[in-house]
Amino acid sequence: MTATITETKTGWPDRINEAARKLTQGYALVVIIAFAASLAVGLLILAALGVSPWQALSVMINGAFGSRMAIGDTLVFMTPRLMTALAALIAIRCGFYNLGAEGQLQLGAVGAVLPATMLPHSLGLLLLPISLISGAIFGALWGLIPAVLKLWRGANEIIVTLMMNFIGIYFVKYLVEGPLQPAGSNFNMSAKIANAAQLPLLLPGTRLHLGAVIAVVTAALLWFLLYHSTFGIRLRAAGLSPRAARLQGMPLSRLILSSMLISGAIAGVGGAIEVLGVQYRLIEGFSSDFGFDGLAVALLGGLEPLGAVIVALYFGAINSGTIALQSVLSIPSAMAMIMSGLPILFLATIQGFRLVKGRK
Amino acid sequence: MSFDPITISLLLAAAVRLSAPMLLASLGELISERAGVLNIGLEGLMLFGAFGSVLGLQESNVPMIGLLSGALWGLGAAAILALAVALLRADQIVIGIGFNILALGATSLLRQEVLNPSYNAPSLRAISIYRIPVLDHWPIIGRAFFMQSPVFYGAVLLAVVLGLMLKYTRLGLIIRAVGEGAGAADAAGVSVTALRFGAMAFTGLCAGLGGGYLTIVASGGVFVDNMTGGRGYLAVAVVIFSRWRPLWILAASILFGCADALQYQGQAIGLSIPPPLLLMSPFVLALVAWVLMGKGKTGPGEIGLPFLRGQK
Amino acid sequence: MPPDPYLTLTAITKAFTPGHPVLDNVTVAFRRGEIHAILGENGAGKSTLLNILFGMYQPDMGGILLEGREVIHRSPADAIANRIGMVHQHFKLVPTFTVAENLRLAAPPAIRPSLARNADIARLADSFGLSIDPKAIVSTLPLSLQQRVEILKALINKAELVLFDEPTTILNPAEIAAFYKVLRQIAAAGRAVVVVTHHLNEVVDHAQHASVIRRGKLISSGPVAGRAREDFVRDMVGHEVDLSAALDGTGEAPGAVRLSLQNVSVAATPSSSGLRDTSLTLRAGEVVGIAGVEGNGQRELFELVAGALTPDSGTVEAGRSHADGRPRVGLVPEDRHQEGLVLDLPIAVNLLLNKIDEAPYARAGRLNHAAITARAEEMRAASDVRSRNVHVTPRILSGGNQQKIVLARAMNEDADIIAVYQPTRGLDVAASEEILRRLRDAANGGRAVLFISSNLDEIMRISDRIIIFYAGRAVGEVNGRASREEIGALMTGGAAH
Repeated sequence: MTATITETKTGWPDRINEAARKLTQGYALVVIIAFAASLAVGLLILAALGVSPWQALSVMINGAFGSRMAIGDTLVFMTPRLMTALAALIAIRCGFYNLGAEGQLQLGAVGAVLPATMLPHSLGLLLLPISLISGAIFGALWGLIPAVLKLWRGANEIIVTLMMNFIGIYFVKYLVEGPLQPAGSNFNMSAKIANAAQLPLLLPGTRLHLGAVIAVVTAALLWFLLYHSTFGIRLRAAGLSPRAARLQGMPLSRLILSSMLISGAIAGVGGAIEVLGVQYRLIEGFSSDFGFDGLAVALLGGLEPLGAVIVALYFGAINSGTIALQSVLSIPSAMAMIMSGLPILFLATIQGFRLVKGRK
Repeated sequence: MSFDPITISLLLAAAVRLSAPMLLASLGELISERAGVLNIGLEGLMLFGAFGSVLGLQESNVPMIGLLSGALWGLGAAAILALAVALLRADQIVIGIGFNILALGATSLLRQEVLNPSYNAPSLRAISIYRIPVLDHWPIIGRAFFMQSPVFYGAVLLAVVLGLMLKYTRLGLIIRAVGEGAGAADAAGVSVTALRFGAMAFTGLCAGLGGGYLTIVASGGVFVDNMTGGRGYLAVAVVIFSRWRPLWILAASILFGCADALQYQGQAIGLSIPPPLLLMSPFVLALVAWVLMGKGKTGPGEIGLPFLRGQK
Repeated sequence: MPPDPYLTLTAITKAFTPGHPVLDNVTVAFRRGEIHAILGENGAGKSTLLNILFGMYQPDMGGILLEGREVIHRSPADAIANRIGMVHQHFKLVPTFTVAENLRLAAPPAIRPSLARNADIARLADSFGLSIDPKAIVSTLPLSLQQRVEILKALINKAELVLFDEPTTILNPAEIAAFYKVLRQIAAAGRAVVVVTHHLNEVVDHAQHASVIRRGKLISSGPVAGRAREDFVRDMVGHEVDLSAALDGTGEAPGAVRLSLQNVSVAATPSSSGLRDTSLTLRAGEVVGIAGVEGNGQRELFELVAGALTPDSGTVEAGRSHADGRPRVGLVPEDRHQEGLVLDLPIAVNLLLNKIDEAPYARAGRLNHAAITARAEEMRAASDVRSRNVHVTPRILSGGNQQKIVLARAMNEDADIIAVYQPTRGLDVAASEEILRRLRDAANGGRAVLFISSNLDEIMRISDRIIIFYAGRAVGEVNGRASREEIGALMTGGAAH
């Protein structure tokens, strides 16, 4: 599925996707096993740290869902990962292995903070949509680059998007240490955004903001796009079987460009939401690897929008749950990353094993 | 900006010194890729190596044992990765991404639980600098290339040895065959699984050593979360745009070492490039090189693919 | 009494999915000095049998007797150690390696010193009558020479039993004759030779012993001498079939020109000659066969007609065109799984893939699932696609049913041209016959059919005219009743008449 006409010999994503897709039957069960196994490993680690697994589990569940505030936090943590997951999903469904959601998210945050800090406050409520759209545009343009490089130069998108992630991260670092750093400040962050540009809070007493709704609505729109539009069916056909799609006259290059525009825009809005709804400024390191988490979410969710929502919610819960672990039981918050990395490792391994078994 | 010979010599020396982690990791990755495995998990392997070396250093107080420990941690982590990829045929990209997330979390957790934050490292000079007599007095490049850590000399030697091995030995032939046509190698009675496992283990050893060098030789024996900062991903790119040739990898690593060196010494020579842009530059460079490389030869034919016997 | 067998496969049973054996209690014996053909339809299980012998798969039951003693082949390495060599249908060569590197890779330790220098390799190859340049990169060699490298690999490994899986599909008639000459030499030197094939002529002409497998069961095994072609067909298919009967046209003169290629050229690639200044016309009511060895411009021709390729020079004109200028042509591509179908999208979508953005299936960019389902069900019924409904994916269907979907879509295109490329590859006789019948009917109903195939028998049966491609040119045209020899001569670049 590396789609493209331009692809020469290394069709990594092409063949990778094909292998991954051979195993759709029983996918949900495999995902559940992967989650159960990683939860078990996580609890074992906690036991090794001298914490009773059951106590840890109850603290985590309480921290994730135990109160209105906890639920709010879980949803806030879900949001960026859902956005990056949706970004990864739409590109991969078109056969374009976009590992660059992290970079697109970073650029989206830049795109949002510029109007939100620089445009006159007199624009009032218009500031919010302008900032969101600006974030989308920045992300989309950043996402367009690997697509163009691939179609124009045949550059494999896996390497390009990986490199562009770090370029994006260091670009944000450059901005907040330089041009966007308010005069006289020693902190690596931009000025605070205008009040009118902030995403409204939804539940009193929680940090839950409109961004969570935007993320879920985006998932719904993406589902509609994939399954009920001609664009979606062409995109899926091109991703699953570019050669068949090409013979039926489907414009592969255009499909890849559009899917990467959408992908980048979604990740960009994800970055914008973090600025406009959580941090209220651009901060170095505002994303704790949301881009890579999102990729894991997308794959664990079977590259389906609904699956992504469910898995992103789980990741959000892990995030708020491990924060509770830290405050209640002094367990390092790094547990969150361990618990996020494990399921995808289990999933990939089980799927690989099934691939081998299927051949014997 | 001043361009006197001494400044340039110092800068070059720092660049060469800082190139070693990239060089080691890339050489390790080279073998994986030649054997058909795109090992994105390199970043995580380096991170485990970096942690492991500090652990070894703290336990033994001997810098060389620290490095050795880093290499072994890299090897151990790679064995797990190889189990999933080579034996169980997990998707190489997906597993790499997941592994790196896990490595970030695991090393951070271990740092907080196991490492002593107030540990004072012994003098690391012994493994940081080893003068090669006579040659180190050459103007400008003497200091850069002949007053380095023994590890660096070892890495350069390794580059040469790997180049010769790939080209002239039977092992090299088999490694290349597994990467270019695993089916042919299998039909010739080569165990693709075992060979890829071995290649990935070697990658882990090198990446672990590279991570160890990063902490012990380049950072005074201190482990910081996510201290590899994308060097592993960069090393993957370096291997590819060096077109799988060890000497090119050596050159590219030193070039990227320059970017690192400028961060520390840029101000000394009056260079006013902001540090984040210097941090960014290797990635931009890699991207540009990758794009310029274009549609030419794209490397081991079966890279990224699980080997399944009987597949047409 | 024939000599004792060199190797016997005893009561081999193998099932990839429980309850559906691919091989069911198959026993065959191979003797030295003989060319032993294993015949069967696509999917009969003959390749699986070879793969089990070579250690690629393990049998569920049964075993291997080598000169009377039991051996177990857990991997190809075991088989090689037991002096068995295999020439796979898809060559097991490293394409970027030189001939010498490939041979060294495959050689056992004892042999390696004798392969150290290229001159030694060249001499060794000559001694087997298989001359080759050791320095040549394999991927740049023609397939017949790549096959020669594979044979050399087996011989260098001192194979006493050499297996060939469908060795002749990539060869032209002259190369096939030369190939069997090599096999006779190999057998004459006291080795056993096993050839899996579904080409009857070769069996009758060249093999001494033949075993026929049908649906995983051994139907017959014995000397070829004295058996007629028809006997083998009956054993393979299970009933009498006349595979040489012509599929006749209406007898009327062909109608108006539907497709016209004028002096088209397409650049050559490593695997193909491209097209050089080729012209061709296709008229209503006729089937035009394109014969030739693969890689002589057929793929480029198909892609040009499909509108997926633009010629470097020359023009392609079709009666009707799509909005974007592509010719409107119903397409049956060569590779059913990769080009014909999107295996993981529902049958309904596959049936209407070429029209999915047209009314009534879509309005304002939105899919009309009801209209798609209704029309797809109609098409499924008309084409006799055996599936539960149109919402399942074609992945689970048999090759024949998959091809019916592709053909139904091609017929449903608002086009009076149908272009097919290897339409029966991998199908069994019944499914093949049905596809051919439908194509002939389409032509008899007034459509123009471009029939590209490397299967000469098929082309000769269905075509009104046959155009022979060689090195990217149409080197000759004969009518549908030309002789095999006449066409064969043209296929190898012989003089056009």
